Amino acid sequence: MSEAEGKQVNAVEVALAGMLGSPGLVGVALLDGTTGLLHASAGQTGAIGPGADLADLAALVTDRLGTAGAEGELESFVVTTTHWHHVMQAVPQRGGGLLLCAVLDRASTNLALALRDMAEHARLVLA
Amino acid sequence: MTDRQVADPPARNLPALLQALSAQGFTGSVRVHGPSAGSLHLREGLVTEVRTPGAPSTEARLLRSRRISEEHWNRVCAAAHGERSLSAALLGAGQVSAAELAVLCADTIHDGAFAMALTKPEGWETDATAPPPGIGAVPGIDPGSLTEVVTARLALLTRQWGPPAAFARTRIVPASRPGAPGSRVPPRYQDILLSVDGRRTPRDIAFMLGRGVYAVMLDLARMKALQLLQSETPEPVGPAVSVAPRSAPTATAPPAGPVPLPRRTPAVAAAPTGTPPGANTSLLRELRGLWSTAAPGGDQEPGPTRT
Repeated sequence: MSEAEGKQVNAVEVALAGMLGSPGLVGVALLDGTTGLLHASAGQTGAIGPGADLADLAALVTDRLGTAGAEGELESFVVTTTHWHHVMQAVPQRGGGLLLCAVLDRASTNLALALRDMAEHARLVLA
Repeated sequence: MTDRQVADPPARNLPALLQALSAQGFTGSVRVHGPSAGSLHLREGLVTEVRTPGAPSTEARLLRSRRISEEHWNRVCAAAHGERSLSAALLGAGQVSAAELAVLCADTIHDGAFAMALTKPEGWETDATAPPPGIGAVPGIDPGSLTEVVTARLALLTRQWGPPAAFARTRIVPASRPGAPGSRVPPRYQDILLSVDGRRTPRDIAFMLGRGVYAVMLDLARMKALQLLQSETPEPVGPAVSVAPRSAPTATAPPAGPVPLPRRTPAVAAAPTGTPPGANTSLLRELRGLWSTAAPGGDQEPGPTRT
């Protein structure tokens, strides 16, 4: 728990606010990978999309990869549109899966570097 | 109503009550009666904890998911016995981070509210003097947002499986041949499949794995679509297995009338192996003589051999 301008905010919101300095990152959210429950968000949250839809998309990708015989667990996937990269990164956590979802401006983002940053953010977001 | 309770604002259902309490900036607990019994704690109008037997608590989820061992948990409880809150003691022990605890508390509140919403409450009462929860969300969840999430969850499960209340009572049965040939089951589903035995309900599985009831139900609905579970709960097959002693069937039909009670009748004793005290020795000698003359004949049954 922390105090910011007299208002209590939870620790996750503080962690997400710190990610907004990454190049090209315009919005980020932490949500439950199964239920889509939104735990916290920062930046332009409207571009991220509803949590339940993102969790459903992650489940669809995981299930279809499993049906295709893919081994291992899902770590991340990227959906690229005309203007944006939508990055969904699994957060390593004991006892349940969380997703760190980010929207990046395609024109000002090096995707390889952004993916490396996202993996690092996911590792540290609950630390 | 006791003096510990405050005057409940008029409300036609629990979400309306929570909204009214939120508008008042209420701090205290709301105890709910009925099949979906439980309690909600509010601080300054925000929900900080939901406790119900229908869903695992934060403590249960920490322990069952093995995020913290029982040994460490006992130490945390001992440390929190003084003036420190359980949350502060837990964070002080370094087993769980503040962010992880915030996520877990928020998840538990939404899951508890979902479990309580599966059945209609029979009544409620407020208590403004109830002590704060040992582990609670900071700053808390807005009741309006909580109601929206629970309503959306009930609607989604209804679309994917059917009535959620009936789903919550369903005993989950694994498919005889789970999955398509060559497919791999994600680890999250594997954990559930290992817990499914035809007797456990989604709530049982959630408690066993230390996960939320709604998350487990959602995964079960997805697993059913992947044909990892049986689509219908099977009917019981035949009567229960009899453990009564078996006897060969008799050809004669039982008598139609009342069966007389058995009577004890004197029986001829078998040939003794020794001579007990008081036995009729002359009769025994006569029997042994008959036995020794009959044995070489060949038509007789072979007698017992003695060593």
